[in-house]
Amino acid sequence: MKAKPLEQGDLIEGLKSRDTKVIDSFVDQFSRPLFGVILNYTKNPSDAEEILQDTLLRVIRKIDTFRQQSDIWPWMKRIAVNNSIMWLRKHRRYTEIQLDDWMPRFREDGELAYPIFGWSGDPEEVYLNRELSSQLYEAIQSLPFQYRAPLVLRDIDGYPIRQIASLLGLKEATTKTRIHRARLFLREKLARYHSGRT
Amino acid sequence: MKFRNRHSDLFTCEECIHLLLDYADGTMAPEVRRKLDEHLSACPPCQHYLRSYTSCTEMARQLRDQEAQVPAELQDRLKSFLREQVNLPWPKTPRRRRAKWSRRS
Repeated sequence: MKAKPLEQGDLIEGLKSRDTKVIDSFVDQFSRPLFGVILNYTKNPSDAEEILQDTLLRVIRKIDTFRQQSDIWPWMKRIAVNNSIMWLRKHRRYTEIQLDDWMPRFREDGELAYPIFGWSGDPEEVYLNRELSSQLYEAIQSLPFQYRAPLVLRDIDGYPIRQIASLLGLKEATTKTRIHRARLFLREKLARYHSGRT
Repeated sequence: MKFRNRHSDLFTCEECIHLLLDYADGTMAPEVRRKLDEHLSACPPCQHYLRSYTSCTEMARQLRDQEAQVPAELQDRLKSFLREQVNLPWPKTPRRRRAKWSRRS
């Protein structure tokens, strides 16, 4: 049976004292949102589950360092993000695609070399948006790690460029270039998908 | 590779698309932004490109903080694992067992 959701203060005190009922409640309350964060970094189920397990354990072990005045969710989420990045960096084992085939092409004079099929999400088109969103998720997951990590940190989790660069050990300019190339790739993927279905 | 349109001071499409990150993120210097706006106002393909580029970032933002299904079996295993592990000294925790959990539903 699921334990009742706890108030933040009770949760923190319970985790500090390693109260097993509170630990159960903690898993019930936070495993789904944390899993959601982690699955943006990897869709591989066994990787994601292992990262989730490690994240939950880290949260409990680091609970003494949490400043009680603030909301606990961003703190937990940061642990999940850091953990995902560290874990995936260590365990990269994906067949990765080349981005060059998906970059825009230009003529010698710098103009676009082919007609652009433009599209943008229409809030009214719920079904199409759901489809595109699912395509977008798959496209993000097909990105090589060195592009996927900065893209997810920036566009999904909203981290500033400077923090992403520091987290990934990159220069800011490199970080921006990777995010930009990842976005160009995603745009092209969705444009081709969208043009294929219309 | 020629980078600048030799007929004017306007950006080329290539320059325009190269600069889209700063443009879309609002981190572009006003003077550069003005020049890019000039290009965009005269270039429908780049307008389409920009719209779909920003649409991708907006859709990506919607993936933020989405919950994922965690099967009850996985939650039970997590609970057992945490009960076992939380009181062990850190970082001398034994190597974690590789879970054989099934994929989220």
